[in-house]
Amino acid sequence: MFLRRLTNAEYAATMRDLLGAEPSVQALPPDLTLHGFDNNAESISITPAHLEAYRSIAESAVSDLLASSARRATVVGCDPGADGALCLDSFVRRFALRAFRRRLQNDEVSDLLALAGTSPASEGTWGPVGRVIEAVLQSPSFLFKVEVGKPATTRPGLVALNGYEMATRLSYLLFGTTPDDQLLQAAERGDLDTAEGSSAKALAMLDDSARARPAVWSFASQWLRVVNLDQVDRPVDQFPQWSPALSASMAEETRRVVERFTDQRGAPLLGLLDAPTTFVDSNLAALYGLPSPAGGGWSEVTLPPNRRGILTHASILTLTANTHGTTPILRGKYIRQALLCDDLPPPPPEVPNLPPPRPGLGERERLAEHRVSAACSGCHSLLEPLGFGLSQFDAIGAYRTVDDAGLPIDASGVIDGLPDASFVGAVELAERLRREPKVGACASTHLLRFALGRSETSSDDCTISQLAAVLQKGGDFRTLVGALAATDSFRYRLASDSDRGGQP
Amino acid sequence: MKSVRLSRRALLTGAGVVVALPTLDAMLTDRGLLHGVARAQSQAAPKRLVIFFFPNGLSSMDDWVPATTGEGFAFQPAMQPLEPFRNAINVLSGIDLDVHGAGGGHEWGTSGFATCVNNSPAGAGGPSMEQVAAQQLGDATKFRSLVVSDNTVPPNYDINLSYISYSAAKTPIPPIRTPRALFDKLFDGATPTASGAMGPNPSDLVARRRSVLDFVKSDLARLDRVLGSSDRQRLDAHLSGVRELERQLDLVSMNQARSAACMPPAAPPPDDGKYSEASENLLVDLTAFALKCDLTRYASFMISYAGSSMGPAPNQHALTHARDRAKTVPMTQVQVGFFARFLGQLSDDTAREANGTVLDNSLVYFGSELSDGSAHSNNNLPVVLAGKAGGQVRTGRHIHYPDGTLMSKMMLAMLELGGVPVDEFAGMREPLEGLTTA
Repeated sequence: MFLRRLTNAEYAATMRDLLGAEPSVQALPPDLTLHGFDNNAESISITPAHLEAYRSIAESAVSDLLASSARRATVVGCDPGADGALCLDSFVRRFALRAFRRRLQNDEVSDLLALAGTSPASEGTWGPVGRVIEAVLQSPSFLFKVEVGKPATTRPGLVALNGYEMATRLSYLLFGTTPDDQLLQAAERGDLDTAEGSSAKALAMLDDSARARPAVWSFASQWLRVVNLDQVDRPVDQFPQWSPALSASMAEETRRVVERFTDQRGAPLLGLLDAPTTFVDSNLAALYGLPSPAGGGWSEVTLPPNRRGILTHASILTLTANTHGTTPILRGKYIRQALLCDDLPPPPPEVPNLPPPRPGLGERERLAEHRVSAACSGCHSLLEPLGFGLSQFDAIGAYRTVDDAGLPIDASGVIDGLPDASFVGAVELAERLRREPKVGACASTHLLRFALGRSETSSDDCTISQLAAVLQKGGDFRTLVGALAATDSFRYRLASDSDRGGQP
Repeated sequence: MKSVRLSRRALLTGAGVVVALPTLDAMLTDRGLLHGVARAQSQAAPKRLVIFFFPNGLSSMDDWVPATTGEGFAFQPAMQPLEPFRNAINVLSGIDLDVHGAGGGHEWGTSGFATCVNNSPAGAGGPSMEQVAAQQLGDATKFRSLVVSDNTVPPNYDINLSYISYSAAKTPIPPIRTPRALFDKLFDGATPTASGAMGPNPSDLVARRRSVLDFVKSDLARLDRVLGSSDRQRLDAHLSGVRELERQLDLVSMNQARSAACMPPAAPPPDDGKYSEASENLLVDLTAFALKCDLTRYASFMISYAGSSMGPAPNQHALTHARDRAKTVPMTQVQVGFFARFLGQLSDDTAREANGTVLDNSLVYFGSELSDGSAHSNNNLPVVLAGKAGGQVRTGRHIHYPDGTLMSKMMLAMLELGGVPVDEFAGMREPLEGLTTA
């Protein structure tokens, strides 16, 4: 496993919590997404470009901080001009505890004090503090979520995390930022050392919904791949209803529905798949053929009979279409990857050409070639027959009765590889997926990837089946997260072939 | 790649000016950082290696591959903008990229463009050719390498479609994406003011940054003692980054010594986040400038990204897929035009040096991830190899290679001709033959 670097979003939030002002992270190279998530340790590396950016952000943040007498008093907690060495010593210990998310060893404290001592008189009485902050903010103990674990609690292949490391996992999972003082104290007391303690803390954090919501949405939006809608464009001559405002409404609809499900106690999380209601504003009401909410704004409404659940949200229907029209390939692929976690092998080299679209040639006939050719059918029989089930909706998610070629819609589909596989249209598809155990296992896998910042391994099988069982029984999001926090996957890390042990 | 091992003692004693002095000395005398002064006096100009990518291949290779081999071939329409550089380039045909892994032809051809190894969902499986050179010889210049692209790629786009430069397996190098950012990097536009409030004197800033990095290294060394080997991979990457920052601090004093030919051009306007042909031209110009002034010797330039429908060639992805030759050719010409501009910059009056021009002393690979875009084929790729590597390569020819000739052979040949001490690249031990004058 790779060390997990803070994502750019986590870094910005952490800087905000440490220094009282959120820096711009424009200068940082973007994080790379792997298996749907931007926090996978395998794909978020550290390069010289990162270090240059971390340095310049840290230098600006420090010069801003020290220029504000109010903010520096809060962050530093004493006046190095008046209290001298005593002030520096207490500041170093306190600041590094927050920033490194652990207690410092004595040699670390003395190294930081030595660094403070290199500040020349020309930097003023606050100069030493500035050097310490800059150094801490560029150190691996800050930039990486280091997990050493507890000595002598090793199971075969696993190492138990210590309290601070548990606090760090919980905090970045549920608050998207560094542990606060309360969480660090809980770690210090040993509250997080048991499965029960970890689980209880997770639930208490979720109850702080103002802080938990953005992190929960960060998970859900990546799980359901409702990201980058603002990058989507549609030609207005072909889609007169299209506008940037409409695409913003689409994202907001899904965010509201997801929040309803993740906030509400007792609401089965997988009810997202076949929820009969949604939230609309006037843009979406027009798109869905519903009356505009009275008084403007957003209101919860019952979906029209042809729509059910999140798969019929305009957001997902748009994100799984091309600029000029729909393709069952992308929609089938979406369901396979986001909801069923099916691995799709890559297309073979030298792919033959499909016949170009032309009036009168139905999409089914045009794509039939993919399922005749042995080289293609292995995958495409998984994709198109599934994606055709959503063909009642066009490339911006509006309901339609004829397809892009002008032919009547045939929305019958097959979920190849599952029992009871045939269905007609989006509503039956939603109901079938809701009954499908693979969907709960897949949602659990996605939560695990997000929570641990890595891809699943066989050591997580037990954790995933525990979580899937929660969802299969109609569990709500709260119960799912509480269960996750108590699992082995969350409380242990994978042992490395050459763990050396000891503390930094 | 050889992994950098950390030892606390080495970290704590190896820092700073002590190691910097011999390096500076070497640069001043024979490596020629002082453009036009030291270099003209040295016997041989340095060799540069560059990779230059355009996306999506062509609608038909008949628009690209010359009908005859050897000298005097007629340029096909898509390659027309290179006609003025006929004597500075070779057109190579018949070269295949045999890599697989995650995704399909676009992904394999892009992640494998200069790595020539299979990929995974987290990117290519090894370092790219120009980074192998940068890792071995890059410390002769201010920047080991420059990795440049434009800003057309959407956020969170597939790794395997977005990067051609890798420092190691699964470690794509984030490109500099705007003229302003490139300018600031080349000429330290952003750095002196960053902590101006703390110490406006550049030597104070350098001392401060060194002290800060010393602590970072002590933290790296402490973690290195307790973490397992895979965790240490990231620590190694962090340490190499720290060393790179230190090396650049060593070089700060060199800035004052630039000759007139290498005075910074006018600063580009602040970024507005939009793509334009003018911004792509500026990126090309600044990349060429960095090579000409010996700020770096190894560069990577990527026009847009694989599968792109944006930037200089809107709809090009769809057009190559639809095999619409008539509409694809003008778009390919626009992309080839950026490359022609690059070659022009490397061979103009300000590019003169020992053994001709900077281009004469370079090898620049220009190509795409696909040949026939519609078939997603990584075979018979479009390849132009520009420059003579200091007179070693005989140019002006179309060289056709037998089917199945692997790109890794060409990469190995580029490294060898570029003077990089390697005996294999991506598992290949036989360099491409037929390039040199011998």
